Amino acid sequence: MPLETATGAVRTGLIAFAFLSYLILIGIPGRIGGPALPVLALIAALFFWLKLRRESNEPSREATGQRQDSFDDKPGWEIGPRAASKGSRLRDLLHTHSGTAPILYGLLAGLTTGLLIAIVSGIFAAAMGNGIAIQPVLDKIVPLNVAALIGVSPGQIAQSDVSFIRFIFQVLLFAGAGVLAGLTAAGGGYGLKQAAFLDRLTTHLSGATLTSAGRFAGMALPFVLLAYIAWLGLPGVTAFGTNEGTVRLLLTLIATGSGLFTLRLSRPGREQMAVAVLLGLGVFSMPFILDQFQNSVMGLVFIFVMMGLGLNIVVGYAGLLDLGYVAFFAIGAYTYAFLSAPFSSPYISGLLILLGISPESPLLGYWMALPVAMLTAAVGGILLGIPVLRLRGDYLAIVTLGFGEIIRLFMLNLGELTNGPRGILEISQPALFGHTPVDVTFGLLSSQGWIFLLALVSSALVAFVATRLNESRLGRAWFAMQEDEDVAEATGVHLVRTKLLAFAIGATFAGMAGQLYAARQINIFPENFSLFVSIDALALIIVGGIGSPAGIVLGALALKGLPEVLRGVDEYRIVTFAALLVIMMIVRPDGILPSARRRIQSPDPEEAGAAGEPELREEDPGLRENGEALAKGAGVREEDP
Amino acid sequence: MLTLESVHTYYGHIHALKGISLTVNEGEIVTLIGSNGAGKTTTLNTISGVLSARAGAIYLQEGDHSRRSPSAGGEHDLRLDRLPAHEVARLGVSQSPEGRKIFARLSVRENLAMGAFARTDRDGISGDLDRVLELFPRLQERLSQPGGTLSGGEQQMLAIGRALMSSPRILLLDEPSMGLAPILVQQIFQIIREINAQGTTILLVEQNAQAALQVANRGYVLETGNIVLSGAARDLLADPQVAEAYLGI
Repeated sequence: MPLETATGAVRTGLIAFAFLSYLILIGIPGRIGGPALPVLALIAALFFWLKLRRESNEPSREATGQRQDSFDDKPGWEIGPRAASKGSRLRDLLHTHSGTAPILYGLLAGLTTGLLIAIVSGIFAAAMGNGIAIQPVLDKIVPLNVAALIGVSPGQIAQSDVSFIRFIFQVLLFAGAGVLAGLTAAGGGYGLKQAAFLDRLTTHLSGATLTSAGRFAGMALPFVLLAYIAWLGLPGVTAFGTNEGTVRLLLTLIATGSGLFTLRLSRPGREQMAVAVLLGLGVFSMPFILDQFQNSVMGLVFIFVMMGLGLNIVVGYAGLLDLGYVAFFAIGAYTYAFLSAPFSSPYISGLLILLGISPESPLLGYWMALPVAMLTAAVGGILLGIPVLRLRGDYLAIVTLGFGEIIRLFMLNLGELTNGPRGILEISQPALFGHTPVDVTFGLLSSQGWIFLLALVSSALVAFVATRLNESRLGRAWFAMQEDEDVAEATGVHLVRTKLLAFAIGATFAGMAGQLYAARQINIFPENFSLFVSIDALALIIVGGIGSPAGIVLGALALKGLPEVLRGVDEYRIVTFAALLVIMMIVRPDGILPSARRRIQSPDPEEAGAAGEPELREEDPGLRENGEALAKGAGVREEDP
Repeated sequence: MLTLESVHTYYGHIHALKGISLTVNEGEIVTLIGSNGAGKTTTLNTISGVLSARAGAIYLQEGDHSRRSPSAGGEHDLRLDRLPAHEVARLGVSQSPEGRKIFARLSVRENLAMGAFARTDRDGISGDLDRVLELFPRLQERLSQPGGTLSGGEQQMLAIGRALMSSPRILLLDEPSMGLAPILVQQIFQIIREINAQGTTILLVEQNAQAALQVANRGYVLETGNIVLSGAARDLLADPQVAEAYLGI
């Protein structure tokens, strides 16, 4: 292995160490408990894999640059890596990405990380064993945390009773993670990301079985996890003995997230249908399997999925930056609260008694209130939309921001109506045919599970509507408007109507989410609807990938689900959040799962043409045709005089 | 068919068009030539409704199409200058804007579909799609490709194709040859002739005065917001004043 690559590997190892150190310093190992070490190793492996994949994604640059010379000397390489025929590209692909280089790279990087972690944790352990308190300086470095990091019990740390084998094991574990990343990058994992080439690979290669085995292994992950979660739910079963609830929640989050990847990896057609049905069954059975805590987190996650999908229509499709999206969430929640909670304000109660309505019983049930809440939110959306029609970009953001705050201040100060900061209490629960399913399923479905189930169903519905809208005439008009308002108008798009529709539909979804949120919370207060709800919703669609529903689910899982897993490190949550966002913007500027349309960033034909080929390497099966056309276009362009 | 009567357009306080009057007859190619900043693009944008005229009037002869806008009134001539851009587009005035301005992230097919946004006749749309793809075979190859990945010439073809998709009665072409290689410029002008031969009236704005006057029936010469010369294209080509100022002969 050349020296340059070796230093590169060590550098990767150092970066991974720095990243893991942060996680250790904020107390993640102690939080995870027993499986902390494997989890950290997996995180490192993921990082190495991303790094390796990134480097192998730029083979053409390397190949046309420095490598070209050495290739030319050897017989059999005359075709050159840039030749247009499929065969040679395939060969190029294989030669650049297989072999031992990535594995060695991974091993070296893993060793670097492992050694450093072993040394640092050794120092911590020794210091603590000798009675030196590190906690006053680094507040999360307590025996519990360090013990989890080394994989021993806290008592052993206190007595300085950690065998040397433990540290060796740490090093080996991280080295193994590196090798795993290298293997994945060299073989199966690359095939996974290369689903577009997969058909050709399987027909052309003897090593194809490995690739498809890797693919199926990847696709099996969510199912294995779901089975494990279900098993954990059985009485008497525990996960590593500690923090069972958190571990199970984490696994649920991962299972849901990886399910989306599985869906995208599966070949379109029968396979995808089968995977979709199985995943659907798995996900919809979760409310029955999980306990109250996990269900409540997942319920919140999917309420935010609805929020994200709605905001995505405004921001992602129509390109109108709305920072006051919480307003519609609040409108939905308060509308349902008004309709379903007993009025505690004397003013309204008196009014109701005057009208002959008992103020104690809810006016409308959940389902009857749903259209009212949606409609009210939609009207709110239009009312916001009208004054901001002429605004663009930053100005729009500021005005919408103000609108969000205005609604919250209304709720806070209209004491007669909203009970002010004391909030509205005892909001009734959604029922089905007069019964709450919680009562009739013999404890199978907890109250939070019921909310989660409702959130799942509503999100699926909203996702369906959003996807259909995206493909519709209206969706095209939104995109055209986002690209260039003037040209869109000149092609016949009614700007006012199109913009207002975006605001209204987005607000409707937020209203739905708000109503469910009110039902989940039972008591709501104006503080529930602060600016941070808007920011969360916006952040999750940016992290997930603006314009892509699957990305939004991932974003919600990451931004609303993970923090619950990390409850113990609450005070570092925002910092971590910020760091995550910055890293995201560098590594994947279009989000985790960007929408197909977002992929073409540069309107400059030359640049976009040049980007066409690496773009193709990133394509997933759903976009295969698109990508092939792209590659073909780029190829044809090169032949131009 | 299209008549401008002393149209004045402003950008804030800047008086960009100082009373432009011109006529485009059915079936003609009329060209507006002039140096940078003369007001050519402003004129087109005023016609299409992207900019609004502060004074003067723009009339479009009512066609046999039944796509009449309710707010345009029942006059024989429709008054365009009071209508928003999307209504003007519905009346059959279609613009291929300066600098192409295709929708970079929409596919070529979607770009063309956006051109037909105001239409609801499915058969007519698919017929026009075939026609556009026949005119620009290159677009056929790239239908599912995002517009932003096309080369400059292809983007220009797409912009013209998109404008044609609305089945316009009058096509406003803004600098279709800008930034293109000479061989492509020839091709574009050839296509402009073809479109006109198929029965579409064209108002063409060009820097490349020579080429524009060669395809056009009539021409107007603009200078700082005023029309200084007008006449048959052949006469303008021969006019020594035009030759000196714009053709560089």
